[in-house]
Amino acid sequence: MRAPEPRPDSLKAYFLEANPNPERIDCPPESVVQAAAENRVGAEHPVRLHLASCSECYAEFRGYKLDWEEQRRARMRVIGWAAAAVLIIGIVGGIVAIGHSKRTQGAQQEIAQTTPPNTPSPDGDVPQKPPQNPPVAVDTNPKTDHPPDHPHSPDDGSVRLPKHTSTPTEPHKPGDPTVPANPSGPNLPIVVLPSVLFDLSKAVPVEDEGSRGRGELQGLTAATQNLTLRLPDLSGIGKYEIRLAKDKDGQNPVGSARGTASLSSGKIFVHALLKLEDVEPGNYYLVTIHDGDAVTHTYAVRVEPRSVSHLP
Amino acid sequence: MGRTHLFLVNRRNEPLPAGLRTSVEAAYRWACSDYPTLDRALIATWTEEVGRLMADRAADIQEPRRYAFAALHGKIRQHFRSGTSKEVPSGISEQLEEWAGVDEASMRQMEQRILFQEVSSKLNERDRNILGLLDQGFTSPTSVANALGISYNAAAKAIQRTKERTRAILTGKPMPRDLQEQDESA
Repeated sequence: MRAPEPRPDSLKAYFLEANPNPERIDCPPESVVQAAAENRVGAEHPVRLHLASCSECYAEFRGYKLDWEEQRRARMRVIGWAAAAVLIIGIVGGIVAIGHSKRTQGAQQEIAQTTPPNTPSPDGDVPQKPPQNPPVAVDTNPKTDHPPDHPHSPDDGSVRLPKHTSTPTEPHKPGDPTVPANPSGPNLPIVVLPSVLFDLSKAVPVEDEGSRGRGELQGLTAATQNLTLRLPDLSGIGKYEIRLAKDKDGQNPVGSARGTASLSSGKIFVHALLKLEDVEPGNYYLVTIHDGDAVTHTYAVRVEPRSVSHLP
Repeated sequence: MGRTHLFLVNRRNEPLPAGLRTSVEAAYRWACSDYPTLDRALIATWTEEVGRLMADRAADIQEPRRYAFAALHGKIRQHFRSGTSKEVPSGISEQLEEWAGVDEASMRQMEQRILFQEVSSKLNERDRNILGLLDQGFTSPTSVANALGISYNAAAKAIQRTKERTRAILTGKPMPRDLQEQDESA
């Protein structure tokens, strides 16, 4: 015999009361809970299982879900009224158009019956047909809006950069045949920068070193880094700013980049192109700032000197 | 029927800032929706207390919505635990009131807490996770398999067993012997 479904309100009451977590241990940011309530994350996201073990987050989830469902109902009402208005306007417009058409046809028939053909006008000229519209030439050459050196990101996360034929330290000479006249020209050779995984999911933020101990110092290279940062589980999705700085707050960055965090196989990644060619090797702080709620985490990193293989 | 208008002011009777007000009102709407048996006037009173408290500590509160939900949720829990009497007791309720200061509503809450404790102790973590996914609308074995990192067939079996175990607990009937064993890993 098939087991009956647990009643929804029983389950809801259970999850609201059975898992108190007043210390908010392992709780994700509000933006993540909201994303779960609005079904913007799938079943594989870690927040789904966290909601089954934290009554506080479950209550927030229920609140966001309630607001979202009310907004949806309001939108559907607006759409329904708009569709009804369009339908009514269409019907009325159609009736008016049909009536006008009939009146016009009736008037034309009346004119045709009363006016004989080729009747000369009072000044002696025979009325001519109005001239046809002259043909119009149409430009069939489409223009591309995509600049040729735009660093678009293929699926593998690699980035294509324009490669200049001269080194950055040499000034461009006017009329130099080795340098293209237009730096954005389509014939510019490009170099593919492979994506470098930088895993922060097991790293210890400096603000947690007191309770969790100092984490291992991770390394970056003083070059343009096409980073794929894996963020800690339960991090918020959305836009991030990544800063490299000597200070823990990241107020005076020596390098910065922006990226959008996305979920892949239950892990959260953000791609960022960090230009560190002019950064001196040494110890720094990598600061991640989430746009949605300004949550900031700081990690100790080390910048290593650039090796030959990193030259574009 | 209780009042639904909230009087959200600080201790000087000044209106709450917009950010706090939005958060507190969202918490109030949630509490009214998820606790329909509670008197709305009571929820409104607690909500106004939370609003005043948040106004006092506005500079320290980083996440006002989270704070408002946690505070109101705490007041609701405290109300259930303290068993504030609202009805005139009679019969067995009167005796219980005399012995333990417990009214009928509090009895129901106690029974519910005992039931929840039994559910938590007799269901393992996977069963509770599956119940959580079912509650969030992920009823298909595919979704559960993705969430738990198990195979489709294992997920389908796990869902069925979780429902049967839960039914056994809620109806008070003994759990079948095969359901008392742990699920095999996928």
